[in-house]
Amino acid sequence: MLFDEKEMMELCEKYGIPVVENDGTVLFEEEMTEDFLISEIMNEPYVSYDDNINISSKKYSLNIPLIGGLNSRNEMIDNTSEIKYCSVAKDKYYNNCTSTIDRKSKNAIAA
Amino acid sequence: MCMSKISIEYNPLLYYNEIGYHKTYSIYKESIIENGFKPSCDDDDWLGEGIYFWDNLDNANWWNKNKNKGTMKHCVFQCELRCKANKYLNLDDKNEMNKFDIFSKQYIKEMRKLGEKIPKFGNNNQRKKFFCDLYCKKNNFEILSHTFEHDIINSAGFKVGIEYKRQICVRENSNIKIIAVKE
Repeated sequence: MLFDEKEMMELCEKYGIPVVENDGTVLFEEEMTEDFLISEIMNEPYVSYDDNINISSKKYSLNIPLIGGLNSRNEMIDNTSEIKYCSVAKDKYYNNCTSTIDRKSKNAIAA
Repeated sequence: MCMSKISIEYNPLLYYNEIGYHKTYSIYKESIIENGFKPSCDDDDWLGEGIYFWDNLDNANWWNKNKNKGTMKHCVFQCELRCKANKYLNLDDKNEMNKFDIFSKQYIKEMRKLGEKIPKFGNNNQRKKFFCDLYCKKNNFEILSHTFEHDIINSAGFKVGIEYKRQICVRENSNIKIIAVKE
């Protein structure tokens, strides 16, 4: 676990950062994204993608553009790696219901 | 002591080693030589708490050159900065910056879930300092560096370009060895 409230308060005091109640207030614009590990939503061990990744899960059924440049074009993401994140801009994509899994990646691995 | 170009012999696989330049007021020179540097955490210390260096003499001379003109004299310390390779964080390395970003995202997630109180950052500089201190503490980094952008402002006050200057933040005096001081 990374978060320690006492440590956080000490840092805020050191830098004069005000502290507020945790009531869901958005602190900065980039915070309006929701992060999740690819492994949390994908069943495929490897997925390939261009600029967008098409995924399907119980929670999300989306066409998500990858933020942060996890990998270069046409390469595989190893879904078993814990450091791979997707970011989704809140309210921007949740209603977008294209949902296909790229089966090419599974076939390529099988081959 | 004159400031000359020096070379360092070291094994880059085992150690990070670099010559850094620290500009300060001449009135502090003797105290620094005797007692070492004092870590700072001012508004413009964007890499968190530590002792700040520039990667070359020109950049050190450029820093704060218009402040206190004609009143306070400055001096520049030339120092050897050193730590074990795994204690150095290079934020110009894209992979390292990505790891740092993932750490910060995870921290924010946990904070949202567990914290009764949370920080309200006034600007990105506060965020940089907060997360740099946290990340270095959690990973035992002793030295970190990053190249920052600085606006080039013309005489009429307009931004006409960007220049890039690399800063090194050393968190402890024990990682610093003074080589020379120039006034």
